Amino acid sequence: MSAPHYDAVIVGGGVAGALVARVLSQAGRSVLILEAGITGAMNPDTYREYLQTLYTEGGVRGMPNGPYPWNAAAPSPGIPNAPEEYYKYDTPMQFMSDYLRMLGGTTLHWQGTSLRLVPNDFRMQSTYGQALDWPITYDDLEPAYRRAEAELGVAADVEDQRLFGVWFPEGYVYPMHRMPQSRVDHFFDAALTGRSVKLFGGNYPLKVISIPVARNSTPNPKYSLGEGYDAVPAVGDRDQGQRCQGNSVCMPLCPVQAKYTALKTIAVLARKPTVEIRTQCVASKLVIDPETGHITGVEYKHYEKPGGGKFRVETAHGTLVVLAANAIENATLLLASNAANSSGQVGRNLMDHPYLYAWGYSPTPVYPFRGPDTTSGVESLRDGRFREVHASFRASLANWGWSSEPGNQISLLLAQQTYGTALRRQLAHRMARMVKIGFMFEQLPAPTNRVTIDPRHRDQLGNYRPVLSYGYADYSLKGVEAAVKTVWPTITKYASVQDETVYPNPAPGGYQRVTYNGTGYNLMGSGHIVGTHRMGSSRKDSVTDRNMKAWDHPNLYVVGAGNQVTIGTANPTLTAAALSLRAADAMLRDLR
Amino acid sequence: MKASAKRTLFVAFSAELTGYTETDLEGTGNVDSFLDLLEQQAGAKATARFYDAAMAVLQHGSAAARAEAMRIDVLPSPTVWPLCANLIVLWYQGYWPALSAAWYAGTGSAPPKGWSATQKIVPSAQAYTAQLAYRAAGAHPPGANPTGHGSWSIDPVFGDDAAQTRLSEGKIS
Repeated sequence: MSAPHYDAVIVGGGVAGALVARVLSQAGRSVLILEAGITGAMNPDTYREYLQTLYTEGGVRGMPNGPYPWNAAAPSPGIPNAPEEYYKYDTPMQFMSDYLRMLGGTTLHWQGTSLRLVPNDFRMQSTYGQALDWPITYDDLEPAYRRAEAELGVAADVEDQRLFGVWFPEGYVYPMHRMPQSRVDHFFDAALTGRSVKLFGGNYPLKVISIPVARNSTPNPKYSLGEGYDAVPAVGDRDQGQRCQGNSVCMPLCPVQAKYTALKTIAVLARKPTVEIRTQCVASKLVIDPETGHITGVEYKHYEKPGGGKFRVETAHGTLVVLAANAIENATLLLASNAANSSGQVGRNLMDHPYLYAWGYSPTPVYPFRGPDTTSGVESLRDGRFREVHASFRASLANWGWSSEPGNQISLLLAQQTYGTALRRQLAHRMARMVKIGFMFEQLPAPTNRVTIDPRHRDQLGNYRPVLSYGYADYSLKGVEAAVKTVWPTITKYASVQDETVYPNPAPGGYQRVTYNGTGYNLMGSGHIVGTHRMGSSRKDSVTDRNMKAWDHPNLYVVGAGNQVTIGTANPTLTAAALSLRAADAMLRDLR
Repeated sequence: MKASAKRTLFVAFSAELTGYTETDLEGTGNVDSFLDLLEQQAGAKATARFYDAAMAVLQHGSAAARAEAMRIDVLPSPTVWPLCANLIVLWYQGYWPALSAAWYAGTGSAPPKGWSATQKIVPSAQAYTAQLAYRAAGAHPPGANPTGHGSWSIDPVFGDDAAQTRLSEGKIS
């Protein structure tokens, strides 16, 4: 019996793969999704177990991959209590961002921020003489952004989002109204309205605006010319998750699934007769016809038990092959297969948003630790002439005080033997005034920031583990300096915030110490893994064309945030979703 | 001491240590499991000293006299104060940080089975979901007891008026 042949074999059951499968299956095409991880959270009982783990294992809280189990057969970085760290390094500087290999992918722990890139992000070279231009423009991607906003269920008001040339067709509204803004947002809004900051000779308003999020808010009845929008509830429970109810824990998981995860798309796919989803199947090699360059099969290892052990090697066949396994896993698989790399760009230009906190006490209570992680930001520094010399950035207003737990304050009070009513009062006093801003910086593509493979570093199934080289260029650090030395002091001045920011040396766990112009900063990653198989106008300097088809193989698509040429200052999932939908349209044309 | 008297004392002294009322503490549903955890982690001898100190404090009717008893009998005690601090963490944050090796050596009791210096014991999911730290500031533990769509846009509802009044004035120390 010959193995079944699919119109498309998709590697990866996260948001990119799920959206491609959705478009192809809607057109009646047959699809196989190979997911390296376990079914996991797709099962509502297992989802609840992960929530219990969050309650009972203090060590996992606040970590993106907190409650998710280590899987030696398809390891993920950043799993608490893992027997070993999955990443290997070629540089002393570490890469602070992780992803999750499980059905539903990293959207299980993402925070849901769904900003569009701004037009100049697509033309950094022609506007600012930095990096290079994309082969497509904002205008090209705009229709796909709208489709992505529908698929993910984005809550925002168009009026807030028109900045730096971001445009919407007349009459467009987001599927849902913007998330209610927090007391923290109101505080900063009142303090900063009409204020501005000077950067590189320009004046930039410190305007607080709401952030688009893929999280259920109130559906907008005007959506889609008055058709309205139905909020998508929890997988397996229609009575849950139709609104964000303020669980204040979007990451590592939303207890009621009010936040979009790819599981919501996969639940629809699972009912389609032309879609097959196989979990515990780790793609290990693309089989290439040496004459034509066609991908004739995807070799994968199907392991029997969650966690690994025995496995069978099998091969899947499709007219098209689509890699949608996350920017790092796509790169390792291409490198392991010696595929798509005539440009030498596979794995290079790895980008993330270096992330930095600044914090203090507000003069009056703002009652944080409530609501989604962030509902507003100062977005006016996402573009400007300063990008000729330094990174643009966002300033995200944190709704959860200084951290997810008030433990440090309790330790300090107990060290002074404060107890009883005094303890309660002082703790409340501090917690109610904690404000924090997360600055998220642009990083430029650099060939030396990269993913490679090394035969010495393999996982339990013998697949290559990613070996990373990573560092921060002055362009980003100069942005960090502008944020810490100019923008934050301006904000604290106008908002009368008592600055409490310190960056201890050595940096605490989860942070990386960086010194620039004599000042030390502790940076984190953002989990925004971008750029390892960029698209381009020329096969000489890019991995795929403008439709995300590999230059070197007539039937191979590589999708996800790895296609991004630059990272800009938008959290990448919405763009990855839009790009995947655009790629799926091209696939349908190929299959015709 | 009879079990019921011990329980009464435990709740009353926990109220003194946390600044929450006995009714608040009963409302968490965690009294019995926390009482057991204390004894299990501290051993019978140190627990007895803990209850002696509790009685020494609670025998006084006025808050000022109780504070004075705390200052004399509890705060300087290398045996009792660490237990009080741990109980405060347990009520406020839902976990018991391991007592130090030095504490066990000082009290002459052996650490319980499975003890490690860096351990944080979460006795149950309910210990987490009913923790009091967030409640002090009008919030709730992340992932539990959500306050409803849009509730974060307005001031929180406090269980007692005094709490909100306390928040409105003063400088951060």
